[in-house]
Amino acid sequence: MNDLKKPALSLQQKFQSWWQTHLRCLMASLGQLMQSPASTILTVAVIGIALALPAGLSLALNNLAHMTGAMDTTNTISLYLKKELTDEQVSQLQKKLETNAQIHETVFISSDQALKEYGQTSGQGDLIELLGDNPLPAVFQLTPDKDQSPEQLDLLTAQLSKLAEVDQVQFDRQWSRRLHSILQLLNKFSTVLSILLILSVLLIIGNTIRVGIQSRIQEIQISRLFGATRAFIRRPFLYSGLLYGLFGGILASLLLLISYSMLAEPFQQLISNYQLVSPSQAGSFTKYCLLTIFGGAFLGVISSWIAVSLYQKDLENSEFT
Amino acid sequence: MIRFSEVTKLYPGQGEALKSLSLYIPPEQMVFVTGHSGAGKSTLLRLIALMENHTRGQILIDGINIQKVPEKHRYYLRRQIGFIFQDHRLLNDRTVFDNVALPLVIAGYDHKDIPRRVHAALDKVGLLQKEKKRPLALSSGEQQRVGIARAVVNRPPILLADEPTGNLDPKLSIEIMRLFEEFNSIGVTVVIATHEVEMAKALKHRIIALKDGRQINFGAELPNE
Ligand SMILES: Nc1ncnc2c1ncn2[C@@H]1O[C@H](COP(=O)(O)OP(=O)(O)O)[C@@H](O)[C@H]1O
Ligand SMILES: [Mg+2]
Repeated sequence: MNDLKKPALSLQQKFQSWWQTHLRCLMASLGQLMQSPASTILTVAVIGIALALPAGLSLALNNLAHMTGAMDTTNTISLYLKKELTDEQVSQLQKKLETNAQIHETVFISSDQALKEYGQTSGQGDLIELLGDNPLPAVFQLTPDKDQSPEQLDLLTAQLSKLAEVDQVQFDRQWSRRLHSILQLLNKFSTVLSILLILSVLLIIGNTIRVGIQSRIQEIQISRLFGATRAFIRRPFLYSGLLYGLFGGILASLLLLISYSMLAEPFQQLISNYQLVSPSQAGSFTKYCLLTIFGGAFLGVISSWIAVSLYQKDLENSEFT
Repeated sequence: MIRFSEVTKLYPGQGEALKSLSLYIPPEQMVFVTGHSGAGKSTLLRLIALMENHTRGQILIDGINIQKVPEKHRYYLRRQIGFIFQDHRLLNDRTVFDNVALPLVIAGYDHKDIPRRVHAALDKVGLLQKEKKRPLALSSGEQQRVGIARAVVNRPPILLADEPTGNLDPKLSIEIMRLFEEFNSIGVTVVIATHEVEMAKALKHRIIALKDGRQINFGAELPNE
């Protein structure tokens, strides 16, 4: 249906008026939010916190997963050798290990080397020299083949521990496996928490919009009577929802930034103390902030859309009062 | 053109406000709908204005069966109608200018054109100087005229007025009726609901008299269809 009373517009004019309409609507919604700054700030704060929690949690878990992932690739099996072995016995063992298909790399660390390294990393070389006798055993550090399943690795470890030359087998995998399952649990927990918090953001924004609708019922009814489309009535509320979500997302990002800068130093400490792999913070942090901001805006639009649609159904089925 | 064919409006719990009402209002006609309070005058106007749905029968506006038009498209029909409320229904948190501009904003007029049209409408009702005022700062008669300016600013082909002079003194009432006659003279269909039968009679336009939701013979001749 064409509006006959409207002069025909060129495409450019149409775009201009479209753009004008939306800009005005955005400004009007912004003005509306600023009319009651206290309740706006409160609402935005609640949304911000509710968004910051899942974002922060999943950022932290992602980094942890990244770190343990890096540990996985450095999986080693350490074969501590018995002390009384001759060089001949050691090199025979080395040949045996090197020809094993399950083992990718074999590195021998003699007890002297081990002592030297320990002295360097611990800074207690002098003290050890004082001891006189070297307490450290010689070690074979084995890197298993990448394609090995955990079961195969277990089998390999069992075989290795039966070797006559071997005193003890240490396999870091067990530790990382435990960490893995803890992480998995935490991930599930964080997913559930995120869903709940995102739902609560939907409800907070939806309810705020619903209250806004109620305070403007007369305006809505008059507008409808004078031929407003559903979109026209919906539009200002969508913008309000968008702004709530956007501001909430920005606040959540700020909260992330603050907590990150507070945690950054102890975190670095942790990484260097335990020789962990530092996660690629910079990239993923920005990504998370952007995701939070856009996610917040998206949630805002969705929840106000739902709130307005529910109201419009009501409005259209009820009598004009 | 407005045509009612055996239209019934039932308010659940309240009974039938209109009872199998049939009537025809040709284009560019000015008619009064009279009757006592509760006769169904407002209901008649509200059905034409698509404020609510009728229960039975058929309503045609410009040949369009409004019942067949889904809510999604009804905005277009509503833009063909200007509505004037007895209680004005102005938005009190907005200026007179913004109140009158509302139908133009809704219809998506270019923002450059809006002031000119609003001023023309305000000029018509003699309120050009009050455009920056809020409705509550105006007298009841002035508020009524803002309501009229809002209803005509979009130049709708149909104008509906529910007791437009209900709150006004006789002199102002006549002035407002002259205004409606002016709109009618440029081709606007005008339907005015009023309980002031004497005034309606004095103005010598067609009268549709309602009683308990039915049309009664008022001696006014029916137009040729
Ligand atoms: N929204 C409504 N809900 C229920 N009943 C209504 C409603 N509007 C009007 N009525 C009833 O419909 C009848 C006609 O009312 P109305 O059209 O307002 O009469 P008039 O305008 O002639 O005074 C009255 O009995 C009134 O009580
Ligand atoms: Mg009435």
